Amino acid sequence: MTTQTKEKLKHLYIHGYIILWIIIAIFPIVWIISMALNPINVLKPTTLTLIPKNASLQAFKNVLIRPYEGSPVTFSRLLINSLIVAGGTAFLSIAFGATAAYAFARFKFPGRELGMLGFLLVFMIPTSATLAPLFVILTLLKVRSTLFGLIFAYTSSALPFAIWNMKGYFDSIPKDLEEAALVDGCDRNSAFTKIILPLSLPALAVTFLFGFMNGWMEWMLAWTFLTKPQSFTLAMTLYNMVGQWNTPWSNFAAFSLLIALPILIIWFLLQRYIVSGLTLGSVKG
Amino acid sequence: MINYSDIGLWEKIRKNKIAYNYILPAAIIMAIVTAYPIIYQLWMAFTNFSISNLKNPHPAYVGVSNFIKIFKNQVALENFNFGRTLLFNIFWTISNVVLHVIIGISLAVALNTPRLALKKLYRSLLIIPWAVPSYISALIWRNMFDTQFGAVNQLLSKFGLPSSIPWLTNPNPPIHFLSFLSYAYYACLITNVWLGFPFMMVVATGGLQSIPQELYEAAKIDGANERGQFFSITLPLLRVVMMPAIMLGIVWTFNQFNVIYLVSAGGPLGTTEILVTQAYKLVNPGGIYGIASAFGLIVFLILLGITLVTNRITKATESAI
Amino acid sequence: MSKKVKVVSLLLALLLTVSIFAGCKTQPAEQPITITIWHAWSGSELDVLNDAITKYNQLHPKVTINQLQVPFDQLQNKFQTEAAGGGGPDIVVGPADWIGAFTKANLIAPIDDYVDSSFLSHYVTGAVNQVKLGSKMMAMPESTECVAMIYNKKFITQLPKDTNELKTLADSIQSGDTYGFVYNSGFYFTAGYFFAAGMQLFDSNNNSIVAQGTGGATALTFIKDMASDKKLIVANDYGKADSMFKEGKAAIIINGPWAVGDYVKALGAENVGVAAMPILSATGNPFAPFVNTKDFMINANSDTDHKKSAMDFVKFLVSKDIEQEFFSKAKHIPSNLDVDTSSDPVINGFISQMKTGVSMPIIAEMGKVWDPMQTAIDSVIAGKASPQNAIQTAQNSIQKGIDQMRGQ
Repeated sequence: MTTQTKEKLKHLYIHGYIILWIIIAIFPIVWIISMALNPINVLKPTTLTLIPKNASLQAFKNVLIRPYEGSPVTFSRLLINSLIVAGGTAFLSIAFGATAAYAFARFKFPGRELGMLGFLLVFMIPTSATLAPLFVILTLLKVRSTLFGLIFAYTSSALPFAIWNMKGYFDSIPKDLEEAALVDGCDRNSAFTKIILPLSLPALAVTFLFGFMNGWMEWMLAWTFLTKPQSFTLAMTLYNMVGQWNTPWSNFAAFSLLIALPILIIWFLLQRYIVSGLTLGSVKG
Repeated sequence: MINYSDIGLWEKIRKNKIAYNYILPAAIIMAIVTAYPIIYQLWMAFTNFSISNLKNPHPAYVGVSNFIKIFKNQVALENFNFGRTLLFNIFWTISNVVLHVIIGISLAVALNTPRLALKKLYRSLLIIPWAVPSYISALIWRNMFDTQFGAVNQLLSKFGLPSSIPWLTNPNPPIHFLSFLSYAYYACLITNVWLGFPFMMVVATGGLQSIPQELYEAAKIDGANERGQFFSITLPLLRVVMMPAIMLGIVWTFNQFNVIYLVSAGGPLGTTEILVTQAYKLVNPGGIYGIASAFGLIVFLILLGITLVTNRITKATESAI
Repeated sequence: MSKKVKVVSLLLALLLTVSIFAGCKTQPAEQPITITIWHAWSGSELDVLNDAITKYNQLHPKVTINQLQVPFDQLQNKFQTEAAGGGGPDIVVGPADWIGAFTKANLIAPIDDYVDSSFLSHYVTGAVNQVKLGSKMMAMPESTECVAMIYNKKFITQLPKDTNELKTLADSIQSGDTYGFVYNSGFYFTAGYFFAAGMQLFDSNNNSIVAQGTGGATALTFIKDMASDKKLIVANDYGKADSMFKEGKAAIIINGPWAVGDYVKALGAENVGVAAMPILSATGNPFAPFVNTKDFMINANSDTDHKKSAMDFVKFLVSKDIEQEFFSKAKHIPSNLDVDTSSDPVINGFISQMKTGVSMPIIAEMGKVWDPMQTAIDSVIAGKASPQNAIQTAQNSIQKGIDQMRGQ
């Protein structure tokens, strides 16, 4: 067999493996699409038919025209709010996380190990315990019913991942690069911003995605803190559809799909940075 | 030659001032947002705080009796069994993380194959489980495990396999020597693996980029085949980048509330209860905040212990210095 | 006339004129005030509320009413968090079982000062009694609800009289994926058979007595019997019964008035029927479901002016005209006796079931009952406990919960 055929065969196996996982990944989603197209609100359909009887796009229309029943706030307003909160969380988690990660990766200072473990603390507290104290703090800071208060709270839960992920990545960048720059007369800050950060685009992109997801999907804190419909987010509004007994499942499914789209778009765009093909070997000096 | 250990603590702090500056913004946010809840919880755990104390926070101090009640299973909540919940929680975490990492890395490596077609499309499709709100995904999975009409059983019957599996309603274990794992565990496991592998795949994809091409070329020249290259180059170097993600994955899965709560609700009869779902039930509908805080504190300490141990084993906090 | 008389009569005339104008000013001008109401209403009920707000504004132009829709299972927590901090809305709408917790935490205020017996005489006595805690009335009931038998008229032409007939009928209907009876074994839904069997929840000291007598065990035996019948589906799964009924795959289910709107939409009004569940064959007693009210509660943090204004709006909302709207548009079962419900056979089905219903206790101890009773049902169905042992375990668990709540 020629090397070309060998490679084609190998690729075939790889395609097969990937497609298997794609089917597994997508199968439940096909159900959600089916739910969204169903004119009656059925949570537990009795058959496996994927296109329901009398399928219609009415649910999507409902959700785009009047997402939140309690007030005529528009879908675009909610979308903008969500983008602000998610984007804000993403940027802050990169900004504060990268600097902290750099310190942990490059400096050996007293309290280093303690600090790293300390940043993990936030995950270990169940959310139900943080609702009331956070409420008190944010009210004290007078930002409780604003989007900024939410960004503040979300950033704190996104920071541990940001710091740990980027530290891991910084660790894998050889120290020689900065050493060379420092010898040449650069100061620490320039070494950080001009050398390390550009080389860490993949990690930055992953961290951005993660921070964005955090801010985009959260609803429990949002419902406890916000009170003005004009400041509501998409995720809150989605969850609002869940009634005590009745949930309009078709609308709920349609809305869920719409909410997932921006994440997919962002991942598609970020892929370029994550797989930018930076090879550190080429920077040997 | 400066002997590092000769320098006093203050000296060290002064020399590393820039490091502290770098950490300051993150530290401030975390301190404000997490310090107060922790202190508040610490205080509540030693009192008998309940609903009546919401507006008037002066409950009675009860010493360590909350903790004793938890360890002795004397808490008035259905199916409360601290020992079993803890054991199950640990097993749940290990089995999930192992599967997430294996699947995630395998897909990241597969997608990293040079000259493979449709990579971008594949990557975007594989991230869908992570992108769709987990509330509805968990509910769909719960439907799929329905005994009569669920998709899982229907597919099994199409392939001629036993298909009346009572995934979520039968509290008995299907595999006898794993007697503390009911059918519902497997249902939750499948759901959580489905939800969790994209994250590990994404981190691994980022990590694969940091491995220099030349190492592979050098290995090829030395005669190593694909497998050899994977185990001697890819895996060890990937480990450095993925360790933090794995640590986080452990903490997340340990506290994975959504899947357990929405798919099996900790049932049937408490066989899939984990510590955080138990903690939630203490607050809502339990309303016994004092015991819930004590419980939260215990969970925190257990998790801290696990993290420290894992940290020591993997040396994840060490820097490359 | 002498000058003196002239002056006096002028003064008198002046006095008279002034007093006429003074009489016009005895009504104090209405101060502008803003009232907030939080609720979890949606669809047609929300439309009725918005409509009522507009109508109220025409009568009281200086009162601004803000409504906020909050997801149902976030509403209690959101109100608790804000009210505990001294804030919160003036009015919150919720089920009666929130009253116990809210009162204990001093978050809601009694309304006895704002309603008198002649006002209350227009309302269902059971509803008014349910919202009383101690001797104080802690909320104003807007509607009542209970579960009953909802059936698909395509399958059911003759209603079963008792549970034996129900079983036979359901067995005969079962074929393929269509089932005669999908039995929701959640305690709230099946409680009617526990009370029909003679079980009691609390004694006069509010201690648990569910294992006293044979009631509990009889009901559990009944459920076990139903569960062992392969032609029935018995599961603690609201979504399943609901979906199957909507798809026309279930002939009979147990559910409440909130679900009927969707059923009519799915099956057509001519196919949806509501009646009382069949009597329990073992004891010959009728199904006795929990009867619950949806109420307006007043925030204890609001000042006197706000409380007064809020109660005025609440009284408007439970007046005959608005309750009539809630009934005709949103299928609420009104607490106001003056509303004419004769036109709707579905609602009348629920009202007739309510006649044999049991008022849901709103004492805080009630919150400790749900989980242990559910465990009893689940373990009996799974064959892990006998009915006698299961009900005894439930009583012990409930009592433990009550004791712990009381701080013992």
